[in-house]
Amino acid sequence: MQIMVCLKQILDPELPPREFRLEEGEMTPATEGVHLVMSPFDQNGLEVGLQLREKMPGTTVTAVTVGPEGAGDVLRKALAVKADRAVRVPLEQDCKLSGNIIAGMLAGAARELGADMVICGRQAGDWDGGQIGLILAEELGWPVANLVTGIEPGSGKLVLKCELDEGYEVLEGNTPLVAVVTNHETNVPRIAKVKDTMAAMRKKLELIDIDPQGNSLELASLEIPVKEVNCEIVPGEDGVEKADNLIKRLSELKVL
Amino acid sequence: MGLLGIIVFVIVLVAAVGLFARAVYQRYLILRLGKPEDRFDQIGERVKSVLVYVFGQKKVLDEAYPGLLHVFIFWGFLVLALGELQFFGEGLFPGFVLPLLGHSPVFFLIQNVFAILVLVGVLMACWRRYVVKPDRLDHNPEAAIILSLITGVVLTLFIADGLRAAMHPAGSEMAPVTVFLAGLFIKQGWSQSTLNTLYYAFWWIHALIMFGFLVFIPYSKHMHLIACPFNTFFRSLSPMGKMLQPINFEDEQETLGTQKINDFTWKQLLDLLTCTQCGRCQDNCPAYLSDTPLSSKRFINNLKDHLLECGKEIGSGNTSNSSENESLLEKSLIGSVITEEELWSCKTCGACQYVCPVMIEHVPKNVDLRRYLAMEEASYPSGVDNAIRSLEDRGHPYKGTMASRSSWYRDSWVEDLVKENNKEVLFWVGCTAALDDRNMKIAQAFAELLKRSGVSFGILGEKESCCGDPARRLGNEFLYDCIARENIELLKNYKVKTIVTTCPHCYNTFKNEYPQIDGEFSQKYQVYHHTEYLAQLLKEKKLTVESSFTETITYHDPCYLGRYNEIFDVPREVLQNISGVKPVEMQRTRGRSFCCGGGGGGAWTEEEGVRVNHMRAEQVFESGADVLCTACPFCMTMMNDGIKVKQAGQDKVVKVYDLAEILEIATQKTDI
Amino acid sequence: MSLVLTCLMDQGVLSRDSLEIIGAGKSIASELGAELAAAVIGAETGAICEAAGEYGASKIYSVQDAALENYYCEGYLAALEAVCRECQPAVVLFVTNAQGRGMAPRLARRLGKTALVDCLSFDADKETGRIVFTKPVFGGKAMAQVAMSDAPAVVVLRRRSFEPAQPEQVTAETIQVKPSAIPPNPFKLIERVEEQQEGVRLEDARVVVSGGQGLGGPEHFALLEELAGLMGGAVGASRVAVDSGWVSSSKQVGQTGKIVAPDIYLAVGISGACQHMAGCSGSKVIVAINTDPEAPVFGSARLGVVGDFKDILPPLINRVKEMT
Repeated sequence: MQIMVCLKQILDPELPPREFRLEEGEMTPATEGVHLVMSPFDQNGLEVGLQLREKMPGTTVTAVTVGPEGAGDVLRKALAVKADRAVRVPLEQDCKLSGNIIAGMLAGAARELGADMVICGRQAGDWDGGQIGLILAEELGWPVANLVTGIEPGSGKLVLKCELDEGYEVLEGNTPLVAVVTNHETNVPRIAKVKDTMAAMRKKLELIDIDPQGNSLELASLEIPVKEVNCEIVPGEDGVEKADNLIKRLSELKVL
Repeated sequence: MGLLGIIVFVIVLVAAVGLFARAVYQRYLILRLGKPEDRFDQIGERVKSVLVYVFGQKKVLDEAYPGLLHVFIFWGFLVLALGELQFFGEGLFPGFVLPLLGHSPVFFLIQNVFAILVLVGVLMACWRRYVVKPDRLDHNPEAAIILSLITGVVLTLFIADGLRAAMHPAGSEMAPVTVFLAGLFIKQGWSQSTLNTLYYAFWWIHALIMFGFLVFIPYSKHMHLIACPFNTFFRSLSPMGKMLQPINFEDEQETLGTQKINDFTWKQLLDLLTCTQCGRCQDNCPAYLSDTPLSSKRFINNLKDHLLECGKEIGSGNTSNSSENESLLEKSLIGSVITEEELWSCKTCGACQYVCPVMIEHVPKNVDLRRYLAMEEASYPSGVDNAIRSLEDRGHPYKGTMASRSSWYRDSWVEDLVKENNKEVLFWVGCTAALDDRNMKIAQAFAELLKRSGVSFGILGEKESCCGDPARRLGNEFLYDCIARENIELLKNYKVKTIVTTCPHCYNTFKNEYPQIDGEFSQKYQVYHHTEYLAQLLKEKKLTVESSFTETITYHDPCYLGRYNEIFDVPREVLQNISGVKPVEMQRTRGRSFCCGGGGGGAWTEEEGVRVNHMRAEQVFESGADVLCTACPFCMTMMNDGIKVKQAGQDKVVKVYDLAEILEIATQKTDI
Repeated sequence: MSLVLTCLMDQGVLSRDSLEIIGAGKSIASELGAELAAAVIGAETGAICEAAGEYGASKIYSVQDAALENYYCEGYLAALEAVCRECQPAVVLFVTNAQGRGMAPRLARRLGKTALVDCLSFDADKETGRIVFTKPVFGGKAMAQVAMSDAPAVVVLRRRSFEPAQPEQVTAETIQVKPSAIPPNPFKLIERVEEQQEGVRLEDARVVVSGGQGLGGPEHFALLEELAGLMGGAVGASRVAVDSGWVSSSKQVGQTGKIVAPDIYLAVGISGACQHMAGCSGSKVIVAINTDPEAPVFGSARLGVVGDFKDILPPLINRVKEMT
């Protein structure tokens, strides 16, 4: 089986809010001095793919990203945890709110690679679009399982565990399919072994050219929200006094 | 003695010495399983170590009771060895006199005195081992056998010597035990030939016990009699902060870190053979004392048992078992000889090796094994994986922090060297002081002190990164190596000549570890811990104490400042400069200071059961101090938490400050 | 007259999620001067169609088919697509439950559009029919305003961000829509496990006591449980606490966890990352307990207590005990 895992390089989502700034006069965040990392849900997706490969001999995992040359860093990370291949679909322009365009390019890559399964993270930690995998499935005409936490092989089929609003469901399906992965304690991304990291630095990244097609949504503005809440600090000398005053204030606010 | 006796004696002697030599040679072959390591530099210094620590028993005497008893037995035996020459000589060849000494009554007196000291030592040892029964001593027959052998040696020596003096009293007049026993035997009215027969009987018993002892030595923990002088000679002469050896990642490495026994160096194996199971390490091991599965003593001894098991076949000429032997050598230590949990329980505090009287270096062995887990298996305990990942992705181990490296200062309050490269003094803030809310106050206090002293300094702001210490202690030497090289390159962009930091871990890394990578690092940069730097500012009167700080203060020695870099007095002197300060010491202090639990990755692992910081907090309360003074951000975090938890039920409130914070308060100009 | 189509995926009774969609749909429709419509799908849609009418939908598109007895994306999607092709809506609304997240992007793609997921508010221009939706991006560190000018605008609203609709009887017209084909579920359902929650459901709780990194370990969650139990509330957690394995992921509050809107949200030892606050910003009163007065959580809280939770929670628990 050929698994294609889609990875996106994003601005470090751990960047503290007070450090988050926008480029002067532009509707895009400032990247100066900010780390770029692999989007967290994509890391979960990669882990799901790697775990499935371990259970199904003959399976290959190909990491694919769409982006400029620098985005290749996430591919190196994927190679370091032993993805079999790494492919970049070059795209220089800054694509925001362009789920259609990116999903189209990824679908093209999936066709070119002859993938049987595509795994995506549920949403990127930057624009939080949350739809690439779903659009991709439409493009390819494949069934899609949403909010997948793990995939197991089972009697010639695949068994997917998916999160629901309350609880989870277990589905059985066939390839080809798209799995949109969310985080779970069973898919915490692994850490690369040092020798694999060193080997990954020497590996070649492949390129697949695909023309971007489609439109982005229209971003009217991008703002850093100004918090208007004035926090009232509950006074008190010690814990007991503070607790008493807190109860008093909550009663006054009529929520208790 | 007749010819037959002499022949028998020589046969027994040769057999005993032969067995002894064979065992020692086998041990030597075992050492050769280890990888090479250069410990042949500074020969003069090494000889001095042997004089001070072996003959001077310096470290042994760190603990009075066990130290003294050991000195009695050790020196007793050295002196008795000379007497043995006379004893055996005159037994074999009646009338034999040891040149120079053999005629001197003082010689016999000294022999008597030291023999008594040995007996006193043995009695003290028995009292301790069988009545006091300290936790750190194992209960096995080995100790009993050895103590009996020693007692046997001395008693038979006394009896035979008394019998000899009963026949030929010459020379023994000043030796009280000999004279007393000779008197006793004469009173029995035995004939000369009875005395002579008894004399030879005890002479032979004595000889056999001696030979037995000799043969027993290399097979028992008394191997240290032979190994310790060597282990002391080959000891590490650098500060503890340099104990981890770098890995050259340019070379193709077969295995990263230590997996099998022969991945250790010969010196590390010699350490194992040297251990006497005295248990001093365990008595000071925070991991053991907080009930983790790790005991520093068991760690060494399990490795030692495995090593001896591996070495059993080597050099015995028996090759039939060689395949099994091979598999023993190929056996992974982790999981069989030592568990992962044990490895991760170590705080790398170094108390074990600081107190070890036979110079065993415990911590590097642990870290070498961690290196295998971290780099070959990418296996970390929970909590630590996040720290490692964060180090890789964003150059600090604090995943989830809401702070950035510029959070602790207001704009333009301190100068950012990245913006203007014009300073020679760099205040390296470190991840914890920059990113942890409580510790930011330390960075602020220290920066304030620098400004108050008129020191022109800068910081690297967002360009600063982790120093690499957490990665290194957690065994990811590769990540440490990458971080260190990046930092070394980064520093080259600035005019910086002095690096001062509030973190002993950063300090140790710059001071001792970066020079392992960049040979010129120590020439290029003067590295100071802030306590040293503040002491200097006080001395130069750039900083003056303006107000008193009237508190009972106990100072907690951070491991990486104290044990690792021998900075014990400087912070205490700074405190003494502040009027009103009443210093008190905790019971475990200075070189025997108890770790806060935060080192070696401890800050990121979940401790189960008793927590090290809670134990240390209890020790703080026992000291009667009102203020706990630390000089390390990890200690600050761990002790702050520990004190809070242990505060309940205490009649006084203990506050935790960094030395810089106390000095910042005390040097504020008071407006009158 | 243009249509605002609300997608109601319920069987039997209208859920709070659906009421929120209708509530938001109503206000969008009135801003645009559009008509409020509802898509109702199932094996037996009568009850929901009626309920939708009671809450103000004037046109109800019902897709009734035995195959649609239980929700499955493929089938419901085909049904919805048929409805959209039938009524040509200007706006199609979902909420960020599993169904909304799973269907909206695919429906949009089928209609040649891109969906917008996780919207907090809107601003509609009657003249141009242009609606600008506000959506948090970068984990809530920024707000993007996205103009949806091409009909249909397929939008997924954030749960608990819009007031649920109030009943208001209008004359509703029900139109039966018959899709050309209802595709079978490409997946076979092996099992569905509804997670049993002890006590009150996190999302429905009037009081939520949440813990974060500042708790330092799983053991202190007992204090939170006790307080929540006494106040008839539920315990939540930040992602750090969940990732550290201190509590199960079902307790995670935040942008990618549960979205809650209780009367009292007590954030204990939570620094206040945007991703987390995004999950509780609809709370009436947010109370932050944190040792660090500079912690960002105080920027979002109505009441703040600076201090160690270990000092504050025990007396707080005692006081609550006295009151009950």
